[in-house]
Amino acid sequence: MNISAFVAAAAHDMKNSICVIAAYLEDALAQIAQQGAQLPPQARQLTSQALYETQRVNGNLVQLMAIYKLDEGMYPFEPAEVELEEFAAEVLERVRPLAHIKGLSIESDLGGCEAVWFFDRDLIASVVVQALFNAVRYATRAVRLTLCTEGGQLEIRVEDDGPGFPEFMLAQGFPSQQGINVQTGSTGLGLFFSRLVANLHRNGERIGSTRLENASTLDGGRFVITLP
Amino acid sequence: MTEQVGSRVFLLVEDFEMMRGVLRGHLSRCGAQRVDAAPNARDAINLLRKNKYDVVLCDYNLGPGKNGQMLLEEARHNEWISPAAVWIMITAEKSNDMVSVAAEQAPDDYLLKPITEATLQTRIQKLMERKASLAGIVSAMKAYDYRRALQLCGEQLAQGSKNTADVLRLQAQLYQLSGEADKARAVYEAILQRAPIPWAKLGLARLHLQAKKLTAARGLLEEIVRDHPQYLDAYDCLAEVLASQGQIDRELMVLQQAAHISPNSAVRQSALGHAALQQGNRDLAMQSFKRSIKLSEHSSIENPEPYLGLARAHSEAGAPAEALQVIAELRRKAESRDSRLLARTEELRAHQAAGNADGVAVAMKDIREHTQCGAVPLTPGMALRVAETLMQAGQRDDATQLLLVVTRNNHDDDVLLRRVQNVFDRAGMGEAGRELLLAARKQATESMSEGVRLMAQGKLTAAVEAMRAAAAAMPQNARVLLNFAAISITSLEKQGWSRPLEEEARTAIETARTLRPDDPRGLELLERMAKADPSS
Repeated sequence: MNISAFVAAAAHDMKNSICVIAAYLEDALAQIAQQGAQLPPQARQLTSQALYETQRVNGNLVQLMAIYKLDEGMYPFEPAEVELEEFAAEVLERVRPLAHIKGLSIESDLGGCEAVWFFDRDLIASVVVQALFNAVRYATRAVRLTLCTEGGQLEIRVEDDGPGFPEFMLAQGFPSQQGINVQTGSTGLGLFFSRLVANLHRNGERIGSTRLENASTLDGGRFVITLP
Repeated sequence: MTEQVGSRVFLLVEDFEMMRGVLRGHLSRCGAQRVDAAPNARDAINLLRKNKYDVVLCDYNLGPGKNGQMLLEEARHNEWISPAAVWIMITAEKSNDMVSVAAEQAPDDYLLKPITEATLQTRIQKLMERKASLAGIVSAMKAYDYRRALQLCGEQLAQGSKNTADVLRLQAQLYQLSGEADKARAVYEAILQRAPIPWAKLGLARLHLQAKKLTAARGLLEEIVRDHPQYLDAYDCLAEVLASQGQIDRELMVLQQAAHISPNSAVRQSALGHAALQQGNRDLAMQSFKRSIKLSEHSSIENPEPYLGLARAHSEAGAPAEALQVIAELRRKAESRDSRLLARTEELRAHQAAGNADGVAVAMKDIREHTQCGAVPLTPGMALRVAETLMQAGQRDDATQLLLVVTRNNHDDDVLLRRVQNVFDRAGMGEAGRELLLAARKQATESMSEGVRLMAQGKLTAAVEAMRAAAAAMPQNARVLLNFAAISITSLEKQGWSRPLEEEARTAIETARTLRPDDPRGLELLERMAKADPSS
């Protein structure tokens, strides 16, 4: 057995554990809510932090494994027809428990989009969920997911009403390869992954892309992924 | 939703105990009342044998032994789950090996962990609806009633189905099956105008292959393989195109690539072995067959191919003793008549190679018992395989007899008759074979043309008589049987109803339908008879 097989097996195992931890936490919170009980503010803060951290670990594992497999030609890139309404509902469902604890409202706008688009559902869901968690972390009151199709492209926007992306991030853009930034704690993995995934999506000459901006309709940051 | 879910029976297969608990909780909050659970494939099989499940949630990784995909294939093969049952594969992460399965072996959906309750609920709901809406089309298709299936497709598309993509895919397949290649092509092309959907490209490529447009087919297939390297059905089709182009070294390469992507597929390894053997690459052949045998250990689905291939490779390598050992193992495991017969023919080859006359005699006796009149007839494909091996083992008379039976019973099937001729050619009997084929074919046509001639003269009773004689002479010829039935029905319509003749016609149609289940004429005749029946 070589080391990469160990890494793969261990990542798989860790992923199972982290999913169970997250499910237990969400379940416990749901039970508290059902009994009409209120968590003390401090506990509320800690629980939401814990939930957020499980999602970060899970997201990192998913993205690491996918990047590794894409690199080795072992990842099954499978674009297919995706019903956008259902897709949006599913990704929002992933962040709802955390948003609920933090008292955030979740908005979605699918007014300007077609019913079906063609992309790799799992990869794009992984990118959008990570962006949503990020937005939930920095938002003060609201997070918004917008899907719209125009000019033969699908644009998925994740917006928050937080302080927006810091200048250096906007300047730096999406890393092609980047180490850990000690000051921000960011590994750049999420951004690297989202660009990689966007670029896999092609239709004729056109190619998927990503961008960050502080042009949110909610006055915070905005993450955009565009798929041809 | 809860009501619908409440009446369904669920099976949960997950080796990780805590995850099993989490999923069980999700299901019960979605309204599920009956949920059975199993921690591994063995326990799951016991449950699947005993109960009928509507929805199976199955983890792909189940620890040592069978994985979720193997379990699914076995459950479908043994019909432990109905075609309407929903099978959802759960997995922590995706990999090529997991999703690289032929379309008909794929689960209904994959769900990636973490799975939220809401996602589980919407997916189950959607898949149950999808299965239910397609059930009518699929079962008509299974009964070879393509006309009915196409009619249902048309209705669903007109109503604006939620599952338009699925219906279009079935519609194109059905057009293809009923020989309407132009309509099938139109469906695929319309889909591809909107998006580069791989299955539509593959469908189009298959149509090109059928029409012998090999270059066009190859272009499309190479495109799919480049853009979707995990889409294994495309490799199989590409290999077929390359074989037709005579590029057998490239064919082998493509099959090797596919086997590399999906290293745990027994069928794939065995296909690679056969291609390698054909190309004289005996080492690769043996290695692939051995791997295929090893992989089949966990499966109860009978697959004699790797054993037959390995035995042949040993025989060709001048090691008949090893070949006989492999055959003995196959005969211990083989349950079906066809597998045992194929084992015998391979055994014959090994004895021949060893110069063991007694062994040859014993094997031949058994083969004759299985193939001569009185026995349940072999499918044409089986008969050709057996005949080919008999030829190679020097048993020309028996092989020729078998080939003539195939010819008489399928005198209208040009593709099959070309394959018969090929067997003669390869045995160096090309000329003799051509004459024998011609004679057998002539005999079949002549006995039928008498009936057609009488019919044209309006002598209906005499026509029925002549066709009945032809059917008696060729009781396994689907064309003759259907013609007899058609003339009989005309007589019933014009000369008054007769129950015995109706029964005769019905039996002929049923026999023809077992011989050629995909021939739509049998069903059409049954419908025509039902319409004309005065008692209905």
